[in-house]
Amino acid sequence: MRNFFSLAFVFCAVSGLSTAFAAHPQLPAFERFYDADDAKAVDAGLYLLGELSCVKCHQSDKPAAITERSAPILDDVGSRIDREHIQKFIADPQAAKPGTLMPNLFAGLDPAVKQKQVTALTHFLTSTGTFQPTPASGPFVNNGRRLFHQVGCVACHGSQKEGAPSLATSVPLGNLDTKYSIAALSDFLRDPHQHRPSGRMPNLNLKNEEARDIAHYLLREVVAPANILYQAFEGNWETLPDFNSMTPKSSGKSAGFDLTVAGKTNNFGVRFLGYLHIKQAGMYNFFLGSDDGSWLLIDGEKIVDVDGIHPHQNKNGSVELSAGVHEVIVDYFQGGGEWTISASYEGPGVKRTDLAAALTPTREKLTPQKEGEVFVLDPRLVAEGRKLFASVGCANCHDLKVDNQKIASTFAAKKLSELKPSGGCQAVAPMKGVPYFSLNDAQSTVIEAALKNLDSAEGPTDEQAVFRTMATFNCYACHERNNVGGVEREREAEFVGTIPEMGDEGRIPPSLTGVGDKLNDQWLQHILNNGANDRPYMLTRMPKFGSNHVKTLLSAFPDLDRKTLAARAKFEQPEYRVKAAEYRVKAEGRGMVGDKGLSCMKCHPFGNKQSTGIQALNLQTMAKRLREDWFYRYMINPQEYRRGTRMPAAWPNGRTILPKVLEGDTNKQLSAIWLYLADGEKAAVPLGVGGQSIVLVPEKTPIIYRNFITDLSPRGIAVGYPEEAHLAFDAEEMVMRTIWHGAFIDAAKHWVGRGPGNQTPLGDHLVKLPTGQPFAVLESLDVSWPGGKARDNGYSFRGYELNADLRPTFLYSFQGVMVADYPAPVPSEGDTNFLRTLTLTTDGKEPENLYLRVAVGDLEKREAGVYVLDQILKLRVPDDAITRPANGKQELLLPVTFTDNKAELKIEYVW
Amino acid sequence: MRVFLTICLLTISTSLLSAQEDQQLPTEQDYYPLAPFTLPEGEVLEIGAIQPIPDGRLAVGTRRGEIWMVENAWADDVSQAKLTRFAHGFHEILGLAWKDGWLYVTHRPDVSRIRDTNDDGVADEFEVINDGWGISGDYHEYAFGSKFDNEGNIWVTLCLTGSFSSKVPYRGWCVRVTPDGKMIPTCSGIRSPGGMGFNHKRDVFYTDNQGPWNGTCSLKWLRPGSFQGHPGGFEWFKLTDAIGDKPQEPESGSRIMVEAKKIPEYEPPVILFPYKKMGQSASGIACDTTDGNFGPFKNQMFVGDQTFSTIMRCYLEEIQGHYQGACFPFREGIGSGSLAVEMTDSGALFVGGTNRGWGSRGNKPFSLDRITWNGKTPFEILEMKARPDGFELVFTQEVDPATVGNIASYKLQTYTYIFQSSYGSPEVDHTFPEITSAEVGADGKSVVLKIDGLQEGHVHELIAEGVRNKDGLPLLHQEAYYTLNYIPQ
Repeated sequence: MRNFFSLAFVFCAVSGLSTAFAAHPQLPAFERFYDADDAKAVDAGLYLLGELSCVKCHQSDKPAAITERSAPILDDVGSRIDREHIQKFIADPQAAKPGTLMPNLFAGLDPAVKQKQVTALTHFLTSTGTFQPTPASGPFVNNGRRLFHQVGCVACHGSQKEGAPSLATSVPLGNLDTKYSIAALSDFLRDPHQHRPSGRMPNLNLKNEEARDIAHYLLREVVAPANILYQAFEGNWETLPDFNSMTPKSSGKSAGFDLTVAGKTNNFGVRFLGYLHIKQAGMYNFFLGSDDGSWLLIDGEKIVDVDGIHPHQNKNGSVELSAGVHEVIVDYFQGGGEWTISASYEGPGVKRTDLAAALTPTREKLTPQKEGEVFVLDPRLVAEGRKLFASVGCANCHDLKVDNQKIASTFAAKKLSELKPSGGCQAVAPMKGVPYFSLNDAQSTVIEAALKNLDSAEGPTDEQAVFRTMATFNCYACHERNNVGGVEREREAEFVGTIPEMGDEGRIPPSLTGVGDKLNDQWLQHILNNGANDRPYMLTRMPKFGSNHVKTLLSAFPDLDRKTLAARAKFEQPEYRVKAAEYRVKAEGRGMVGDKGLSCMKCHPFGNKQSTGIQALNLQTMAKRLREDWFYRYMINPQEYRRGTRMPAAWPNGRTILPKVLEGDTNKQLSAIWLYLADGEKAAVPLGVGGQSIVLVPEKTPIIYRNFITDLSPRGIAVGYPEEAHLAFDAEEMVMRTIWHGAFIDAAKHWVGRGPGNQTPLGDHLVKLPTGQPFAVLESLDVSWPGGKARDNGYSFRGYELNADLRPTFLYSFQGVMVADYPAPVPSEGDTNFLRTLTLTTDGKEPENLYLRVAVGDLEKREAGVYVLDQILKLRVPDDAITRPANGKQELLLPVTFTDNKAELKIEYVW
Repeated sequence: MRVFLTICLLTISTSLLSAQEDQQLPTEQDYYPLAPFTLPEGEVLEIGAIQPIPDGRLAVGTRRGEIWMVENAWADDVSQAKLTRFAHGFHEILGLAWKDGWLYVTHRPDVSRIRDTNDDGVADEFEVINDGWGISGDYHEYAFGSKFDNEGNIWVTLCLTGSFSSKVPYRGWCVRVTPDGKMIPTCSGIRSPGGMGFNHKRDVFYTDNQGPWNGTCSLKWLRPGSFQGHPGGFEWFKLTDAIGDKPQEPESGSRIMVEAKKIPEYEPPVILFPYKKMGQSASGIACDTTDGNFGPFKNQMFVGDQTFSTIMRCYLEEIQGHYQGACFPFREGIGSGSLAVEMTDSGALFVGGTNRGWGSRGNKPFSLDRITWNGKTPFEILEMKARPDGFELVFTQEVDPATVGNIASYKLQTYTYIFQSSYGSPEVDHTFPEITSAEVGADGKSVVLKIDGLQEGHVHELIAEGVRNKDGLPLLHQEAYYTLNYIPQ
C-alpha cells in the first residue's frame, strides 16, 4: 500500500513533467483521474483506446468498455480553416497544436515523401472551400472576453487572463489566430456538434452575438492589413448625404470596414473605397447590413441600399460582373445609438465570404496577404491528396463529403485483439506507415495494460458508466459527484454569479450526488438534451450535450440514486364542505409559500415576479424539475441533500413552525405546497409577491371596487366583505360571476400607472358562476337558455343601494321586472358562505314560466335542494329546483313564482 | 432692413428688461395667488372632477373612484379645509354635477347619480342614469362628463379605444344624457378628451389631445352634429341617425382648413395650443362668469395643461359662425398635472391634479390647488381680435404709446400642423408676415396691428416683447397664439 502511494506520486510527478516538456495528447479526465493503480490502468487504457480513436482503424471486436469518439467532420474544411494551418497541422500535429489527439500520419516517412504527401493533402483539403481571415473588432473582443470567462469556456479550456496558469487538465485550444476566420469560429461556437459530432465540445446555447463576440475575442490577435481607403465625415443626417460634395474630416487606409476611423460614436459618416478582383465572370450577390444607413456601389452603380435610421438591418442585391477589377464603394452614416456594418458576397466559385477582406486599396493585382508566394490550387495535387485521404487513414476517423459523396477509407488495420501491446502506434520512435500519437509514458503504460486485458474487459457497471461518461464529457470540470471531481481549485475563481451574497451556491454548479433521486426523468432528459438555465444567477451555463452522447446518465443516475421514502398526505374535507375540493389544499400551500407563511417568495422568484431578497430558483419550476418524494425529504433537511445551502429547514426535525395550518401536520403541509407548486405557471401568485401592492382590506365595512376584473366584462364591481368572503358582480351580465375567500384584491394593477389589464382576485377558493342573462322565460324546459349578453337581451343595470351596514343590493331590470339582488356573507365553521336573496317586483304583469339559472356545469344532487357544482361548490336552493342537461353539462334552474307582484329566491353558496 | 430693425429693438428691449429686473418684475403670484390644499394623510386624491354643492361644500371626484367633500374650501386660509369621504367604488371619476339633492357622477361605465338618504354623511343610493356606451377593457376608454346644459343634459365625451380605433359603440363620440336617462349621440370625431366645459353663452367645449388627426392639443366646440376630426369612431353611424350620415373621411396629410372647406360637418379646432410652447396635454375647462370676481377676464375660458401643470387663458370670438381665438399663458405652478378645473361664482379657480401614468412638471403625485384674484390687475393682453387686415390687441391697462405703437415691439410668425392619421405633427408651413403699422387706440389701452400676409388656417404666434404699460412694465405674459381659421371680411 505504501508502495503504491509512492509510485502514484512519482508517476504523477513524471506525468506533470512530461506535460511541461513534451506535447502529448491532452485529455482532462486522464490527467485528473487516472493513475498507476493497476485496476484503474486497464480502465484508463480502454478510455484512451476510445478517445484516441484507436478503434476507428482497429475496428473489429471492440469491447463494450470502449466508448468511441468521432473525429471532426471535414466537409468544407477549406472554407473554415486557414490553408497554412492545415499544412502545418498535418505535417506535425503536436507542434501545430500541442496536446492534440490527432496523430502524425507521416512521422516515419522520408522527409521528401512526407512533404509531397502533406502538400497533396493540403491542396485537397483547401480545395473544399475558400478561406478569408478577418480582423477582430475591439468592442466585440471586450464582450467576448467577458463571455469566455463567464459562460463556462474556462471550465474546460482554462482562463486566458494574464498570468492565469496553463493547466494540464485543460483541453488545449492551440493557436486559433492562425486557424479560423471569425465567421467560421462563430458558426462553430453556435453549433459545435455540426462539425464535432463527438459532443465533447458541448453546445452552450450561445446567441448569435455571443458566439460572434467570443470568436472575436479568441481571434483577437488577427490583424488584417489596412486594405481599404476611407474618408470620414461629420454631420447629423437622417439619410445618407452626398459625400462627393463634402469635405472629409479625415482620410486614409483602414483594415476592413473599420468605423472607428471616424473617431466618433455619433453623427458621423464614412466612405470606404476598395477594389474587388473577380476571377470568373457571372452573377454576384452582395449582402450589406448596417445601423444606421449604408449603401454599396459597384463601379458607381447602387447594388444594395440600406439607407435611413434603423437598427442593424440586412439587405442584398445582385449584379453581373465581368472578370477583372471592380471599384467598390460602401457609404455609411451613424446617427445615434448602436453602430455596425457588415458586408459579404458570393458568386461563381466564391462561397459567401467577407467582402472587406477581399478588397485591395489599389487597382493593382492582389498582393499576397502573407510572406511567400501566392497559393494556387493544383488540380493534380488535389486529386492525389484525395487518394491519400482514403489510403493513409484520414477517412477512418474523419467524414468528408466531396460532391455529396463521402470518401471511403482504403486503409485497413489489424483487429484490436491481434495487436501487440507495444510497438506499432505504441512504438517509442515513429514508424513508417504507422500513426504516431506522441503518447507519454503513462499513456503508453495504460494502453498496454488495456491491450493485455481486452478479454477481461466487461461491460461497465452503472457506477463505472457514470464515471466514464462524466469523465469523458468533462462533467467533472463543473460538477462534483460522490466526492469525485468538481471545480478545480485553480479554476474556482472564474466561476461567478450575479448575486454575490448567494455565496458558492450562486456561482458553483450544483453537486450531482443524488441527482437521480432529485430530478424527475423528464427534466433530466430535458437538461441533457437542451442544457439548463434554471439558475439565472449563475453565469456559468449548463450546456447541451445531446442525450445520444450521455444517454447512459439518463438511466444510470436514477438506477443508482433513486429512493422512495416519502409519500403525499391524504386530505379529508369536513363534512359540511365539498369533499374533493383540492383547491382548498392548494390554497393552504399558497398561503405557506407567501409572506404570511414561510415566506419562500422572499428568496425564490415566482414566474416573472422577482423576490424581495436574493433571486434563487424559480418557484414555478420546482414541480417541473423535482421528484415529489425527494422534495418532501429535502424540505425537512436541506443540509442533508445540499451541504452548505442557505435554504432554511422550515420543518426543523420534521416539526412544523405553523401549528395552525392543516392541523400542524408536516406531511400535509409539504403535500399542500407540492400540490400548489404542481400547478406551475397556472398557480396563483403567492401573497406578498411582486412590486408595489395596494391590497384593499375591508376592515369594518365592505369595499366596492369597480374596475377591470378577470372573468368579468369591463363593467365589473367587486365587493370585499370584512367576513373574508368576496364577490364580483358583472354589471353587463347582471350576475354574481365570481366568489372567493381570504384576501380581497390588489388595486396596484389599476392604481399604479395608467392601469391597463384585468386584475385577478387576491384570495383563494375562487369559484366561477355562469355568465349570461340570469332570468329567462322558458315556454317549456326543452327550450334552451337564451344566448347573447344580458345587456343586449333587454337587461338594464340600475345601480345599487347600501344598507345600514353599507352592504350593497344590486338593482337591475328586464321586461318590466325589477330585481334586487342582495348577497350577504354568512360566517360559518371554517369559511364564510354567501346567502343571496333575490327579490323581484313587477308593475303589474307577472311573467309566467320564469326561471333563474343558478349554475351550469357538473351537478351532483346530494339531497332535496342541495347540489354540488363541479365538486367544488355546494348550493342550497329551494326544493323545487330543477336540473336539466345543457350542451353536455347540466343547468340548475329555479322556477320563479310571483305573489302580489313579488317573488323572492334564496340561494346559499358553501365552498 | 427688417432684420436690422429687429436687432436694434432687441438691444433696446434687453436694456429695458435689465433695468426692470433690478426692481424685480412682478410674477403671477402677485396677482393670482395659488393656495395648495393639504390633503388627508394616507389618502390618494387624484382629482378628476370638482363640483360646488349648495350647502357650501365642494365635492371632488378621484381617479380611484372616491368622492370627498371639502368643507371650508373657500376659507382665506386653505388649511381650514376639512375633507371627508362621501362615496367610493366608482371607476375613474371625470365628471361631477349637482341637481336637486343628487350628485351626478360621470365615470368610465356610466352616468350615475348618488345621494345620502339617511344623513350619515355617506352616499347610500347609487342610481345609474345611462350606460349606453361600450367599454372594451382598454384603459384609454375614459368618459368625461359636463355640468348640466340648459335642457338638463349632461354631455359626455368618450375617448377612443387607444389612439386610433373604436372597438365598442360610441368610443370617439360625444353623447348627451337627458334628464330622463336617454342617450343622444351628438358629435363624432373625438380622439382623447382631457376636459369639458361651457362658455358664457352655454355652448359646450372640450379639449382634445395631440395624436392621430390632432397635430397638437386644442380646444374644440361641440357643435351638435359636428365632426371633430378623427374618423376612428365612424363605424357607429350605423347605430344612430341622430346626427345624419357619416361625413366624408378627411384626407391624411392635408391641412385642417383644407378639409374643413371640403367636409361641412367638420368643426375646426377653436384654439390650437402650440405643442411644447403652451403645453402638451390639454385638460379641464372653466369659464369666468363671475362678473369680475376673478379679475378682468370676463367670459374668458381657462384651460388646464396636465404636462405643464399650468392654466392657460383663452379669448374667443365668433367669426363666420365659428368660434376661434387666442390663447395666452396664465398661471403655472399647479402641484401636480392639472386635470379638473372648476371656477366658482366667488371667483375661486380650483384645480385638481394628478400625474399618474402621464408625467407632469408639478412634482406632487396629486394635488388640489385654489387660485384667486387679489384685486390687482396684471398687465396682460386682454383680448386679441382678428381683423381683415391684422389684429387688434386690447390690454388690461393703459399702455406706453411709444413702445406699443412701435412695430418693432412685436415678433410675428405663423404655422400650422399636418392633419394626418399618424401620431401628432411638427409645426409646418411657417411664414413670417410683416407688421406694417401699429396704431395705438384712442382709449390708450389698445393697438391695431396691420399685417401684410395673414395666413388663413394658421396659428399666429405674436410675441409682444417690447410692449410696456404706462409705468414701463412689460407684459406679465408676452406670448399670444391666435388660431386664425377664418379671416373676418
